[in-house]
Amino acid sequence: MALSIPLPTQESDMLHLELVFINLQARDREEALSFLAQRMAALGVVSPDFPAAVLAREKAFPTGLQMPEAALALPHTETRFVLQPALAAAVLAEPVEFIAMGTEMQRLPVRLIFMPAVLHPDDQIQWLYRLMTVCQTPGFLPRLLQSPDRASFLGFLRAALNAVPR
Amino acid sequence: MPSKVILVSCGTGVVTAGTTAMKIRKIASERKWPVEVKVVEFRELRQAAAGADVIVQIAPHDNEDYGIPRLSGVPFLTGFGLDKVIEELEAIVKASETPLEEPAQNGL
Repeated sequence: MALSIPLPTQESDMLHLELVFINLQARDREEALSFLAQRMAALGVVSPDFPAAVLAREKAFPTGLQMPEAALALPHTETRFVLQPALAAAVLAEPVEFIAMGTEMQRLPVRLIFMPAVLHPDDQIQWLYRLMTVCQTPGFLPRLLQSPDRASFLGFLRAALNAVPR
Repeated sequence: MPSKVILVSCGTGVVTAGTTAMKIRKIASERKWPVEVKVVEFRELRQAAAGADVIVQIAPHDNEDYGIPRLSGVPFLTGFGLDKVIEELEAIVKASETPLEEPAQNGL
């Protein structure tokens, strides 16, 4: 708890090597979401209730997003389940089906999951805005999806985020 | 003086609506739209709609008529269909004031 200091959110605050998973095997979206949320809880950045809250919210308000070059999912939940701002990320070995945000039925094959833990909305929304901006940048998502390991994934993401004007 | 109010709404009013609102504020500032962009939770929508001109929503929560147009907020996150939704929003922002705008509050 002593780790949460409300300063403008930097890449270093949000990104953790331990929360990046490359070639993750998951049968379906619930399995992928549970895995990521539980790893966040194990690291202590979210409360033990966070995994159930993320799964419930995904059912009520699906978060699949068809970006210009790939589909991704942005599962999240309320600030009260968050202890420290963080982002968990996974590239799945095989796509799993998510429902598109703002729809009830539109299915998207998703291989990239970004699970943000938002504690200070004003700061982290700036950060998420930059994340969404880089995800729309031509060439970014195809290259990110080909990251051979977590260190190269994070290095590429960090460099791209730093290049977005604040 | 802001002449139009844009409401942005999602499930909990924090993450997706906040990110969408940030994109709309940036577009509004580039295009010099005289607007106020407010993030509201779904349950506050009815009350907030009374003083607003348009709702940009992430999810179609209900089919109720709040008396103002609704647009999808998803293009602001994905970039897909963004030009079209900006055009629709601009038409609303630049439309002349409706007579319903401000019920007389000044005692005249």
